[in-house]
Amino acid sequence: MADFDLSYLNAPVIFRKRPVPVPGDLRPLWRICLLLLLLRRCCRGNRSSFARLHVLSWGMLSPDNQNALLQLVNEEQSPDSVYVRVEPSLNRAVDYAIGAGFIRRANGDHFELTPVGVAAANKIYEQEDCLEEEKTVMNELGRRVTETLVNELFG
Amino acid sequence: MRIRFLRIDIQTDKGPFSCDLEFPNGLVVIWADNSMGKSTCVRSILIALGMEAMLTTSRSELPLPPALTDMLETQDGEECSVLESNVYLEIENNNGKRNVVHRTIRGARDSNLISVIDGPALSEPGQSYSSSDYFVNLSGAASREAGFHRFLSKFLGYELPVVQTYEGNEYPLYLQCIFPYAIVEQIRGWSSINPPVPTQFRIRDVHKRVIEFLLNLDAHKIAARRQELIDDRRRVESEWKTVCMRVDDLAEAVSGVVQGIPERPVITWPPQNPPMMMLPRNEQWIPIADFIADEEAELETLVGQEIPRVQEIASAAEQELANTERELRVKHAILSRRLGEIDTEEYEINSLKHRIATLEEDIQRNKDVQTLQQLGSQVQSSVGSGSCPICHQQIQDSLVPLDDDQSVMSVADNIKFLAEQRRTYQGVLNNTQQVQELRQRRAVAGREELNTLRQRIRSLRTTLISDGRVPSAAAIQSRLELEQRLHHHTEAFERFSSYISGFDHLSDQWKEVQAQLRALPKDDTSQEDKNKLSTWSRICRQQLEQFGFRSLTIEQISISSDTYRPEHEGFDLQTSISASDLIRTIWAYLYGLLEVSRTLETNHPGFIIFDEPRQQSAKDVSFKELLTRASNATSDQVIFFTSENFDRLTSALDGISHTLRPYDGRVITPHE
Repeated sequence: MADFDLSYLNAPVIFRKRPVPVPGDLRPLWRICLLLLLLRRCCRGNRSSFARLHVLSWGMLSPDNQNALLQLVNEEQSPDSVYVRVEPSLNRAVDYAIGAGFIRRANGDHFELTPVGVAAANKIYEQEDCLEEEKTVMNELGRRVTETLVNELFG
Repeated sequence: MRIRFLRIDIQTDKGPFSCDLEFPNGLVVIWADNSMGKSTCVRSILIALGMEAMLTTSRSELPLPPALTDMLETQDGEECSVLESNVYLEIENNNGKRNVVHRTIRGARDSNLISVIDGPALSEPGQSYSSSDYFVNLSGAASREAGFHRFLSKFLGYELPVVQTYEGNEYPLYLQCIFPYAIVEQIRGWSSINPPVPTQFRIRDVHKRVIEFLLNLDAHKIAARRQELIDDRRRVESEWKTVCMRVDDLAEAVSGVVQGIPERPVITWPPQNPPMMMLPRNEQWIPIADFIADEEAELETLVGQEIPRVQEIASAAEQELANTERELRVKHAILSRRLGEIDTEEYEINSLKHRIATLEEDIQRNKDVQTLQQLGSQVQSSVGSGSCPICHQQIQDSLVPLDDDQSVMSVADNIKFLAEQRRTYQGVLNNTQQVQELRQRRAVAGREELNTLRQRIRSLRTTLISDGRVPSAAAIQSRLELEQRLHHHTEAFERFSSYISGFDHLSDQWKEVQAQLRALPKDDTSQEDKNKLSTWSRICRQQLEQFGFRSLTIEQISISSDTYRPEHEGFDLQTSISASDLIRTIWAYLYGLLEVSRTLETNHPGFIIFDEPRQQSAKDVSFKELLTRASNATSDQVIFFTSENFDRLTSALDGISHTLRPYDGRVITPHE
């Protein structure tokens, strides 16, 4: 392999790491707030299983996912034909949300909003110009993504 | 307008009570002790003029003390219940005409009715005057013939400007918004420099509109004119675009393209390179005029020839058939390659669009993060500021793990980064779409060419198999075709030329609008407006000096030509001065308006009423100076209602021209 001769540049070559861009949905704050809203708007008693959180979160991430989830609850698609992506990033967001005191574990494998979490979720919901598309989808979904449906998806 | 005479009539179960107050020109001081009925008088004046919106938003109850509506207390504390009460107010306009307005507060008459007696029925009773009824407090009071405020603005000689509400509707500027600048009511009037103008009418920039009207400034008119011109400009722009689109459609119909039409209006027309319509021929674009000329020449030669018979041209036709068939194959190959390119490009365009949509989604999410970060402590946890809520170590602002030494872009930078990407992709998309458009037109032209060739082959074949003595079908066919094409192209060219000449007219309009816009004064204020504002500023400064204003250096105070509020070195005054200086500023600001109207042409009604002007907050010396200054009023009216210590008041009034009406006890007394 030939060595590159860079001496004619006559200057030291410096490599510097630049900050990397991160998609908005992978920012912790965004995902935590989404989680709070999902628990508040789409789960009975502000409580959900871990699996259901994954389904709901997946269903918000892109217009395609949103359509798929809506079709699923409207029974226009069967659970067999939908593939839900399980994201490790969601697990981290859940950890952070527990740490920040917004949610807590309940009945072992379930998560529920703390009073602080409920207040925060309400505030996010009232805030205009924020998570608008996601809120629309959540309103359309209502609380129809049941644990039974989630079991069928993963079953 | 001057207030001439106020009469309050109350019938109680213990006999009639009343109050008569006369107001001459100049400085008038009504003195009575606290809670003896001064404010009742001021409010009665407001109610008589239908101005209850200045005091309340309720439409059902009149904002008056119980003395007029319910229960009256006599001098010795005896309570009498009110059976009926009426307010009469005699007013005089600038032409010296006097009318009396009469409103029933409690009684059989509807309290939304105001009767107007056409004459000085209070100061010169005993004569008979005609009277008519008007309504207030209902929609249309300012615009309908029977509306009281329409009557009142006519009486005042006002032509009220039309103003915009927040909803974008247009209404006349209501008198209820103007009067707070002349009548300062005790409870709400002394808390800010701008008088408390009712907000329920939802008029946009109401304070500015009122000042512009009171000082009769040109600013509003100029601003309205500017808006009109901007609308005009937009209209020309959209008409221009429409014509552009029509021309484009026209070009598409003949598979051509148009060159040299600016997308937005231009001042000089026609441009240096006049617009041209181009048609494709053999991979090149040729001006339509040349195209037509060629076709005409070709047709002419064909017409000059006799149509050949089959037997004469049989061998030539055979040769031509072979040639045409080869040409067809070649053209077909070219077209299918082109269609393949178009498909690829279409795929490219779709993926670009998808890419842009994804970017937009991501931008929105990053913006969401920004909004969430600003939501405040309730939502904002330590995660948002980059540390772990449990162990408080620094964490990355990302849910995917990164190298330890790798840092994450800040949200704002991320948005910029994405927006830049979107801009790039958008540019690429626009470019690709343009190229695609051209390709598609070429393909259409190519298809037409193929059709022509096929038809030619068909007619050549027909020619070859037909009787040798008949005229050649191919020759006839090609001549007919040529004629048709020529006709088609000529028509398109004519319409194109007529569209292009339409730009001439639009360009003239554009030039005109631009010139007029440029001719408007830059900050929308005319020279005369500036004069009025600087006079007002000067008068305010004089008064502040006189009243003992201390908070700031007076020389640097002026009335802003943007907000029409007093400011100090460009900062609004209200926030930076002491409470007593606020009162002084309100005196100077409002009384200043009246003083301006003495020398310059304005719409000020010509009177001012100060109800309990908070002399306690300012110093005695200030109040004395205010009275002295107000005593300059001779042709107009300055009315004070005050409970100032009587000795101090009389000594302050000593030596200046005034009318003092002291009440020892209640203002409303039993009727003798």
